[in-house]
Amino acid sequence: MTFQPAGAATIAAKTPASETARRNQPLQSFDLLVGPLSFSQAARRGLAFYLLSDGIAVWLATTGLVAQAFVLLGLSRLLAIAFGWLAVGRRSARRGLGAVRRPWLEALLYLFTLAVVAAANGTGSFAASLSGFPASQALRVSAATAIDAAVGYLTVQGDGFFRVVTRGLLSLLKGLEALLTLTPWPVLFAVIGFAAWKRGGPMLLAVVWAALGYLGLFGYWAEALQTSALVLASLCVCLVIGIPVGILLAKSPVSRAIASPVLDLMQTMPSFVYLLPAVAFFSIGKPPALIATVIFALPPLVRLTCLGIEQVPLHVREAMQAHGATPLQTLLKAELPLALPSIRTGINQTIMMCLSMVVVAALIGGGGLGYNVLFALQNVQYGEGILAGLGIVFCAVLFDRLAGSGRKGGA
Amino acid sequence: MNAVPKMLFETSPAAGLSKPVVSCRDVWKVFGHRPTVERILDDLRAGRIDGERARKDHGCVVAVNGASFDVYPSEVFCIMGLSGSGKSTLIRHVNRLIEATSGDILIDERSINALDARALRDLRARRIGMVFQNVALLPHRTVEENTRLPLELRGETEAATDAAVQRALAIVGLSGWEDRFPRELSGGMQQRVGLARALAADADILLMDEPFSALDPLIRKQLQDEFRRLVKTLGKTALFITHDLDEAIRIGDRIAIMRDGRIVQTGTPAEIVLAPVNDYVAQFVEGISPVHFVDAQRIMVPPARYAIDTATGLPVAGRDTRLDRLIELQTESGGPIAIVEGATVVGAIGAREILLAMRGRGERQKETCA
Repeated sequence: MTFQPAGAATIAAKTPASETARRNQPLQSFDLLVGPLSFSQAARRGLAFYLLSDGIAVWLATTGLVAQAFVLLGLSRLLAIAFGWLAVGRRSARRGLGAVRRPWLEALLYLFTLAVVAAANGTGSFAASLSGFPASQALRVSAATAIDAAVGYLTVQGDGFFRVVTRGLLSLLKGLEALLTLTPWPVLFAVIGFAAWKRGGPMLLAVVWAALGYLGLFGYWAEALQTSALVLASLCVCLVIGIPVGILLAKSPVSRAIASPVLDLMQTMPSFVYLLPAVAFFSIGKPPALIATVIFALPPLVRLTCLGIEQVPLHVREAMQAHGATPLQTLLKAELPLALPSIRTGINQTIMMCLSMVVVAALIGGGGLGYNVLFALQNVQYGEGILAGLGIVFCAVLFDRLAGSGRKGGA
Repeated sequence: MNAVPKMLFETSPAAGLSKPVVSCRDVWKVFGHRPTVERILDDLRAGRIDGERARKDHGCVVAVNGASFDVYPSEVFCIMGLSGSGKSTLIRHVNRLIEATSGDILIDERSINALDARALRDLRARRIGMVFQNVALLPHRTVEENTRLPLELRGETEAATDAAVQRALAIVGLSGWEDRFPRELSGGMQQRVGLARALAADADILLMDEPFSALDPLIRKQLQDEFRRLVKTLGKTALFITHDLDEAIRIGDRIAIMRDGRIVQTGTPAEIVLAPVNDYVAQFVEGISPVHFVDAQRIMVPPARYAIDTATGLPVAGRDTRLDRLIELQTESGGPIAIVEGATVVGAIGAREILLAMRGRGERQKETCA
């Protein structure tokens, strides 16, 4: 067991500046040792986790990746400690549930751990493995290659499907664009002005006309309409996908557990990353721009629809049921109407996120105001860039005030 | 307190004569991990495990513990218990908002356990109306639209719906409020809408889940009386949940007292007040005045005690005269009252008997202690 202090010393020596690390070090090595014991709190589910991690570690060790196997073991112990901790806290709240302890299994695993660790120590790679994380270039490259292959395969195999989607999206976009561009500008002024008047009175009318006037006077009219068409088309797709999915998530905890990380991924993954696959699937132009926009803008709508439906009080559902409502009737007559404010907020969020994507979308041929910004940046024209950027802001103002969540005064 | 309506002393109008409308037969509801529940159910039934053990050792909550009762046509059946006694869970079994772990619920002597989703919806939409403690109106609908909900759900024609809605709103005294939204109404009026909604469907069974608990005392009393009158004139059968014994006595033809998921006593208000089966029930009825429940039969002494031979010159009363009337008679004449059956004097009641009856609770407690 001499390796333990040695490992600790290595880390301490490597990071002398980090006072916290040194203070925590003895505790961590101790936990690493008693990991299996702390883990005895984690009950059955934890046991499965433990067996899995150790199994993978053994497999790694047999394929020669001893250092990685050791790191995995260490990590799994730390995780187990954390989970064991959680389990203790939770169980004290409801004692007697799932308290299955298997001391002999713990002991066995502990011995096993020590054996594997000792083996790793024998190779001498242990100390080295702690000073820098044992990265595997090959692993990353092979994963990336696999993804490339998958994208390539899908591009070929799904060609027909992607073609149909592309055509559908394109016709939606073209239709909206035609509707907007073929309408004479005075008519648009009048219609939007009227909507603003109904919604917020003369004050809003003034704001809306000022924004429209800016777009017109500075020559962004056509681009603004293109951008609006892209935003509206994305919104349509988002609504068609987002609301049903939101309802599904509210109804089924399983699908929520699955979808939640996917939604997180969609929101946090930098949009440039999926811009390229989108191009691979849907070729260059507006459809991939639209798809990238939808991926980015969909999560808030899904989440807020789900939230709105979840927030419908139980007694309202009960009352609907008690009077003989079918699940569909409950949804349409009680849940959706009560979730409407939340869904409206979701729509507003989605519109704003669509607008924030227009510059990125311009990179792959989304056109519109985003292209103006992009062009100005590429040619180092600060003035042009800022003016076009302002154009996007005014578009956002128009959308927000007219299609917003309705929190603003007025009717 | 205790301004008890007159019908209280009668036994339930149809009890024993006709067939029950709603019956619960040994209904159990155990919440928890399903396999565990199934494993311990037999032990629970046999009494080898009690609710406390089930919770501590198995993580299951016994909400309803072998409840059985019958509700007869046109009867108001109150289920009374403190919060957590399982009464709200129990009432939700009657329209299967909650499925029983074991046991039968019968409507018109037919089990509803086996009904498929469509038949169950039909039963809920046509036979059983429900009113909730928190009213549960749809905030985005007007009074009129809320009231029409059950008819709309079962696909009734517009004309039939309109007529039923108008009738229901008139019954609860809300004509003229059709276009208001629930948030514009007071709590009492909202509950009237809840009641109108249940009545509009013209269901013959009403499930009332603590409908008046959240209202202030005066409104509550008013609605209690109105409800009782309304149910009786419309001939509805009602299950009424309450945590308030006064309310149960005021409204119910019969009362079931629940504790920890078990029904500890079922009976008319008089039976509950005068003959509580255990200390728990006795504690509840402690504050209830006996004047409306005690009758002459119960407290009279042999006429010889007051040296009475004939009723001549004395105030007379029948065996079933209630204590409040006896007090009136006694205070008017100042002397003993002759209790007569036909022409013969069967008993006598003096001031002493009346005073002892008023103190009756003390005696009963002594009995239970002994």
